[in-house]
Amino acid sequence: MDYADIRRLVKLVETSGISEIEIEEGGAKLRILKQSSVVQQMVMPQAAPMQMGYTAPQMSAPAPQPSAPVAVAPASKLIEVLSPMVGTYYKAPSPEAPDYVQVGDMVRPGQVLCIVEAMKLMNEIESEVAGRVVEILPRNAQAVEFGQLLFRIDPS
Amino acid sequence: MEFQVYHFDSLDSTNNWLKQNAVQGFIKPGAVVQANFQSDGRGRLGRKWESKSEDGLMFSMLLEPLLPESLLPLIGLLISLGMFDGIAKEIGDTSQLKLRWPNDILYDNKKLSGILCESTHSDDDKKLTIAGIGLNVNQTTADFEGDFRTPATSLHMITGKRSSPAKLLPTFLQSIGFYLDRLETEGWSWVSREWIECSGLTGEHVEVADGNQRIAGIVEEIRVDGALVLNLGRGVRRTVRSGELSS
Repeated sequence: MDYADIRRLVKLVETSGISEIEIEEGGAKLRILKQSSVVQQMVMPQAAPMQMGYTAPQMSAPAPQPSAPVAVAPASKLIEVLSPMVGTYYKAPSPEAPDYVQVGDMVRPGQVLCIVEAMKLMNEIESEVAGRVVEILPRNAQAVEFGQLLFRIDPS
Repeated sequence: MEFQVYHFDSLDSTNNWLKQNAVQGFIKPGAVVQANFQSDGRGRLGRKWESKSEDGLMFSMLLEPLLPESLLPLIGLLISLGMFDGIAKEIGDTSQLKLRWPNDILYDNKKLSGILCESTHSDDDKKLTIAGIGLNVNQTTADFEGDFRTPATSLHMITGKRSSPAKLLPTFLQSIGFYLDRLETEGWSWVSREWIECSGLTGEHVEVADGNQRIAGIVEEIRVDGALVLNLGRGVRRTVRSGELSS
């Protein structure tokens, strides 16, 4: 199954009365869900026993990629910054450098909060909002999952 | 893929130059910057990448967001396929050439090339991916004396020839461009499959060091997102996404 096949399947789901389709082939699983007017694709390798958790990479077409998933915590007005990929959390660009942010710091939209690294790709995670860093959840050099909570930011 | 190439005699770091200019919107995807000398070239975790003038080919590329963010790390594996092909063309013999996960290239188990990628946002909130690539070209044994994490080699040490790094660049842009074009037309599902075939890593016993942690096991596969799956024995498997691999 290649990218062209996936596009054809998305088109099929878009133009048909089907709301969901799931296909497994060659160790990869593809699930396409139609939710109102939005089509989402999720592709994931098959789960294997005794390995670290893996959450599906996700593409939402045609929405632009946010800098990091953001969720509003239901019990308060704190903004949650979630990891956009599986990898290793780093609080600073190198072991000798100062931390990108510390609890209590004020941040602005677009300011780098941390790096998540996987396979020598250093992905800068940025704040989407202005506010004060209330909580930093991972330890430096800790493995993080897709969608894992990294920061809580108070925008008020 | 079309590239716009900027040459410099000296820069602090090609990645830094590209990042600063891309963030402000002065250059577009397809921009490539090459410097004969980097005063502050960096590897993973801020480690210094040694270079003297015209000793190495050091260049950085600004890339379109061709992958969803969760799969961005695949870009380094893809570029290493292009570097592998370009090096094979230069040395004409691939028997001692191999890929080391995630994106180094070794000759006779000595490091010849390395890649470090970064992802950031421009001031107008566009996702930017920058790949920094280093290839040892004219170094001699004496240049690699000292504390190197991995023994190193150069094209000169392999072939006996000296080359101008700037003149080598088009070969590598062509071979990397071939794989970037495929990413655009075919998607990403083939990248990890071709990488593992090219590396011959399946079934090898390897050790991965990440910080204070060391894991040893047999390579079972590279997952579709580029992660390394090791069999640690007794039915235990571990998926690895960062660290330094040795065999």
